[in-house]
Amino acid sequence: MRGAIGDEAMSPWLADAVRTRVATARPVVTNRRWIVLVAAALVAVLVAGIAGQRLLLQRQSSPIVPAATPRPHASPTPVDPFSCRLPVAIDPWSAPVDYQLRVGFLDTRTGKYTGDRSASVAGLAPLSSQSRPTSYSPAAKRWLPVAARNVSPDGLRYAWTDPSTLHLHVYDLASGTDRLIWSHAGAGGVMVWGGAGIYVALNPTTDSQTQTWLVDPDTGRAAQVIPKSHFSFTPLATDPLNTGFRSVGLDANGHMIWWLYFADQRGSPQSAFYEMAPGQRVYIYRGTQGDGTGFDPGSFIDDATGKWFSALTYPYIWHWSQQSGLHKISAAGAPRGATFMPAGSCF
Amino acid sequence: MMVAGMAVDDASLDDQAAFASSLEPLLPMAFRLAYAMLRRREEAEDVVQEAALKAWWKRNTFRRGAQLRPWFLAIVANESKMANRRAKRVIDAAPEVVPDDSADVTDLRRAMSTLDAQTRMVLVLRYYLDLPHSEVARILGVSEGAARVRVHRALARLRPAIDVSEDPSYG
Repeated sequence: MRGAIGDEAMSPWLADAVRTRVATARPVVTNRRWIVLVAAALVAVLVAGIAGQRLLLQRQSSPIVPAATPRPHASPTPVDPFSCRLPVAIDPWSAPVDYQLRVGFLDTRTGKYTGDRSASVAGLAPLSSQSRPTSYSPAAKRWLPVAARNVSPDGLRYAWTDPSTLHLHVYDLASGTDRLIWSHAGAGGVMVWGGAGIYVALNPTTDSQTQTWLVDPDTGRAAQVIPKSHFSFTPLATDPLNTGFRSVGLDANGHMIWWLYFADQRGSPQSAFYEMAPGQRVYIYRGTQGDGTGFDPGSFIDDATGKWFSALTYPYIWHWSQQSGLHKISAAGAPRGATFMPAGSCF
Repeated sequence: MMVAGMAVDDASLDDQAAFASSLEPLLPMAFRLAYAMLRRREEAEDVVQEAALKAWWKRNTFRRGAQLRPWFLAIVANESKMANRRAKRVIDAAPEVVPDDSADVTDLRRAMSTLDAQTRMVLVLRYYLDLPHSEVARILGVSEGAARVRVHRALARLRPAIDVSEDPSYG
């Protein structure tokens, strides 16, 4: 059963998020008297509206600081993100799709998706008849059996977790060799292979909190870390509304990207950002719910052009960079309802 | 405050920070339950947060001195079902295959993906989270006998695809 469902580790930030949300939750009015309920609801809406507006203004005045120099996947020549081939995979849960068409390339100029029927991961670790093309390395010019986040910045190595031992391996595409680099207790999974090394989410025991470790891919030396610019939860304590937030993932520079929203409240502020330092946010998107942008980030990858985001609901791919901002690319040519996940650097 | 994430004292029901601390040991299991039902990490994480908030708001429905885990997991289970409905997920979509899959695992995954949410929930609680029948019953809000029947029926629906045996010595 565990093999069929998978053993995803809980994100390290989730306990903090729950603690903050519960600790800052507004009291709920009970239904003893209808009149009291209605009156309280009206007051709450009024207060929430005023406070929400103030919050929005406060958010808008938050400083936007320049991003750190990105350490993206290597690319020999500059790539135009709006005229390149982006490797993508169709989210298997979004629409029924033939495996042969599950991975392919998206022309970012036209938005046309073309499945790659010749995609293969034969001969790559882990050797298994069940391995499937999952990400693409333009540097190695081939599909790989692991998620794009597991691939090294130069695209020539990838990290994978042995399903029987849960230990970390690195496969070298140039030499075709596989190496066990980190043995540990408990279950671990690769969060991202960034410029500083391989970030691993680790649960030492089934019920333990998830830890973040940084592993040197060359020496196997591992150290527990707190991801850089971890979201400063403190400001939320003053939020009058019940803020929802979740991590979209860790980027190649070790910055956690956050998605901040207010549950089911049209017109309420929402944003995606990372922090250079507590409170110093670099915004990827800042708007309001229902503002027509439709940004609903799922996962993302970094490459030389910026960040590529999947969309949870629509057949879009989003591109963001500090220079050009946020852009939507509508995809065509995939089964109805299909959503895409970026699967490698655009080339 | 609490014992192994299972019981919660009266004071924790009145203090938001203490209540959140009481939930903390249960979060990994809550996340696994939500993930098993939703198959998407980001949605599972949203569900766990929502469930924790609702648990706080609904704390007056928690019987003092009772076990916290089945009560909280019941809220997570309910939130997962609601999230599933909201997403209008295609349940017969091709299941994802990971590199370590054996043929049996692939068959089981495929079979699981065709089950309705309620049946899937029963199997997840019993065989993925390894909960005893008594706790499965409390989470589903049914008697222990009814929970055994549901597990049995869920297995029967799965058996054509793969052999999963019940262990009578547990739970």
